[in-house]
Amino acid sequence: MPYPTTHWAGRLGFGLLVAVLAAYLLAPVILVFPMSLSADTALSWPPSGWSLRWYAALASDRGMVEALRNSLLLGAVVTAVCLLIAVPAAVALVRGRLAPLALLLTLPLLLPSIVLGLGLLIVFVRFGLVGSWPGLVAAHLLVTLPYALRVLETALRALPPGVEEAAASLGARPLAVTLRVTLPLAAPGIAAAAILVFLVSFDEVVITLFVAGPHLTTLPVALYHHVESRTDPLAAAVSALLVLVTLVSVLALERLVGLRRAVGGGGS
Amino acid sequence: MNADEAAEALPRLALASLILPALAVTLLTFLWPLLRLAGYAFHEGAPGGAIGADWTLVTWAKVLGDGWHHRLVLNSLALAATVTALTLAAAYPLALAVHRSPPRWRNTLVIVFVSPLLLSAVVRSYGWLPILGDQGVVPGLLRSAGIEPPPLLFNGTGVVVGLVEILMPYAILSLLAGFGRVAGDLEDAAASLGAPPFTVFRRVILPLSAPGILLGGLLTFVLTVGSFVTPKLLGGGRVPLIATEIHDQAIVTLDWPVAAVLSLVTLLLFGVLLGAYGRVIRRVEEAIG
Amino acid sequence: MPPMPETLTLDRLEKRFGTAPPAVAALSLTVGAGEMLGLLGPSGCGKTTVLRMIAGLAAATSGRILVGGRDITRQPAHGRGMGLVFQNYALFPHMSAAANIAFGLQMRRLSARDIRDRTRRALDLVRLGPLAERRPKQLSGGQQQRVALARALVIEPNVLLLDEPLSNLDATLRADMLAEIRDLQRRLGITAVFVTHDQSEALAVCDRIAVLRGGRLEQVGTPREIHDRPASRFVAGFVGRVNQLPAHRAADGSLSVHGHALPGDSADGRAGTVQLLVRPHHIRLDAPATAVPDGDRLRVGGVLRDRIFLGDRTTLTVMVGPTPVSVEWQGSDPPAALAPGDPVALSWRRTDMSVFPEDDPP
Repeated sequence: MPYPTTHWAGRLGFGLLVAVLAAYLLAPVILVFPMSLSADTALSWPPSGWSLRWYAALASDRGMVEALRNSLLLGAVVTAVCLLIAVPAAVALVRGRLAPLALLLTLPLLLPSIVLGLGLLIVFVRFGLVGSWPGLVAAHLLVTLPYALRVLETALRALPPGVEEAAASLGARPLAVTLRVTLPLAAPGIAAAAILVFLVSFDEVVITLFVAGPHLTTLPVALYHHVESRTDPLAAAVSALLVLVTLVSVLALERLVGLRRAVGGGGS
Repeated sequence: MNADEAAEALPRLALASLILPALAVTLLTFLWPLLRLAGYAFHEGAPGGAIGADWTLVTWAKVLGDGWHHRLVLNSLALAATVTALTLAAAYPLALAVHRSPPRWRNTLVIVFVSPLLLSAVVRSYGWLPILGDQGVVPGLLRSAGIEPPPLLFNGTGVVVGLVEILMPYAILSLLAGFGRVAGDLEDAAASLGAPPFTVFRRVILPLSAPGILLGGLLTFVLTVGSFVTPKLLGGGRVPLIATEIHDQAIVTLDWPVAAVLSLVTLLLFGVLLGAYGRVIRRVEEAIG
Repeated sequence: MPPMPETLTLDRLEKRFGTAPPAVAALSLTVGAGEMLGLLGPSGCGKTTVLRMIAGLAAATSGRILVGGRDITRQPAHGRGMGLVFQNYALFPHMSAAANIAFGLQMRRLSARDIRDRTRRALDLVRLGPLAERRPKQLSGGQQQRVALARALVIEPNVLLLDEPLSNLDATLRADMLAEIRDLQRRLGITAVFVTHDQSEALAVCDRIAVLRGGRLEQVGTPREIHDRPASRFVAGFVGRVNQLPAHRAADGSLSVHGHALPGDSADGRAGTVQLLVRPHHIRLDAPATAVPDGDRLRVGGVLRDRIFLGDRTTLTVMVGPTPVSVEWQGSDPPAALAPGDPVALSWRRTDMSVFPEDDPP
């Protein structure tokens, strides 16, 4: 669609505005890469020299390395458990008239994480779940389940009409219909849900801040504490790592289902 | 397929057993904690994170009677209003550019502008340190232009700059959804009737995209009120807000009843905003048909 | 290939959704063994709901469904052993044509060898042998249709159900597929129900046709009965093209159409305004002078308005008073001398005409 302005000055002005705003939006994300290669001990721009010293520092920082390991492991466990719960639930939501339940299941997405985090803290303390693996997995399930349900529901509703009924008419019992027809056809949606769940878990910080403990923490929380107390390029190296993981996941999501469908119209 | 017919494909028992695990998770990690939190608001805090045994409104009186908490709420609302206005202003041209871009570019632009949304708020907040910090990009540019830079970080300015950037993708998504109804031929029609470009924008595009603006505004406002990481990292403790206070009361002071009351106040604010949004959006939808 | 064909009986079958009027009301029908029954009606008449109930994809609110005398009303879809061909084919997009066909056999836990042999035979039956490994997306509409047909037939169903199977094909393909479906059904001697809204399809392939309207059975009979002796104005209007002439019926049964008196058909109808229904190809057109009196024919006069040449026939529109009547002239050209504005005489046999009271809704 052509920009309807006939004045080249207007077009140029609009183009410049868009460029400046795009730079504003992307600068902090892009800048962590050169920053992570700084040879300085403080955050200054431009760096006085380039080096990989902060990546080396990151590799020898036992707290960060352990937090990274925890984040990866937690992301994997949460992804597996979340899908095991979300796939059957999505099937039920699509097949039955369960609109009120669907609303309840997506409600956590609408409330501020800080409130959810406090609620979890209050409950977890009583059962000794703060700073424990089961506690972290449960907290991340709370955040990831609505995302998984949304993507899976969309995927299941987009199945070609009639194929499940066709399978039933050919003698397939409900389980066989699900295994032979429904799930194979929903596979791209399921993969997209898995990526999104992993990503949300891998990047989650506010709720984790409440329920993580000194001996069990995740990379974003460790990064938060690090940035809170010091401003050195080590955090830039960690950030660059997180950006890369996100970028790869986003591209995979786009290939599978289209990014806009995966993240929907809003909500955080 | 008719919903009645769909329901027949699976018996109620099967449906229930399929959705039960998800309901259990929501019940245990969402509803129950929320109810417990609400309960805490009606007790008195005791040292070390404990609470008094009796049901009481003492904490409500303490929180609502304290001028400090009034200031927190006002700070949060003022910040949210500022951030919302700036975010919409910054996101609108980008969304319009995406909407008008040729189809083969549109997807790429959406990815570029929206995918930061999936990045941790810690990373995106941190990214501003080397830009706004004393030795950072912007002060450096200002100095080379002969201007002594004002402090941009660890104050309200830093928080606003960071939040606007972080919330832009949400606003862009909402606006794009709103642009759906602004068909290209409408703009051409207005232009063919003799409207100059800015008039086309003011009389046709802007009114038709009002629902997207409202949705983006609501999201941005609500997310700002609930935001905590960015004010902490870029505000340097000098920007007290209701969300940061909830965190401090819960983690530092360990006064959970106060944190619970503040949480309920936040939820109440959310409810009021949502109700107001519902009323306004209905009027707008009626007005533009 | 299949075992002995079986009858399908619907006994006061009913379907309600909530409190709305029933989608299907007290429908009783029997499809004879090896017979092809057409379920014909406009969209929303309940014909697809009937088919879904027979297949077990929708539960009957009341009534029974019997196959060969066995009550299968409460049996789940996967236990009914019926072959179903969907309007959009509903082929499994992630399986090849052969895998689609083999699916039902796998569900029956046949040996790998049987599955391979029968799949191969089914593919040959619908002339798709060379395309066995193609995915549905790589097949044309007609080929997809044949895969769907083979998939439904290979399980040797006791009843074959076809839901608007031709509506997604273009006109030339539709005629071929119609013949192919008819041929297969006859050769295999299979009991079949053919749902369609297209009366020409139903007339062409069905042994008998049931016309549905608003969930109720309007008429059931052979194509010729339905076409020539419609039980209502609705059936007459829905099946084939028909002229409707308002007329007045006197107490003695005699009719008058815009001043033309017609001898009465019978004395049993009430007096009052009626509608005469005559099909265009049953009307003979003559120049008034050449018209030969014929005691068996009813005759009215009119004025030719226009003529449309359609190749193998010509359609003429004649005004009888204010009512346009279309007349189909088969074969050679009608008298070239006839020009618009000329008076003409129309006549038809008494037995080709139906008379319905005005209050019988069309």
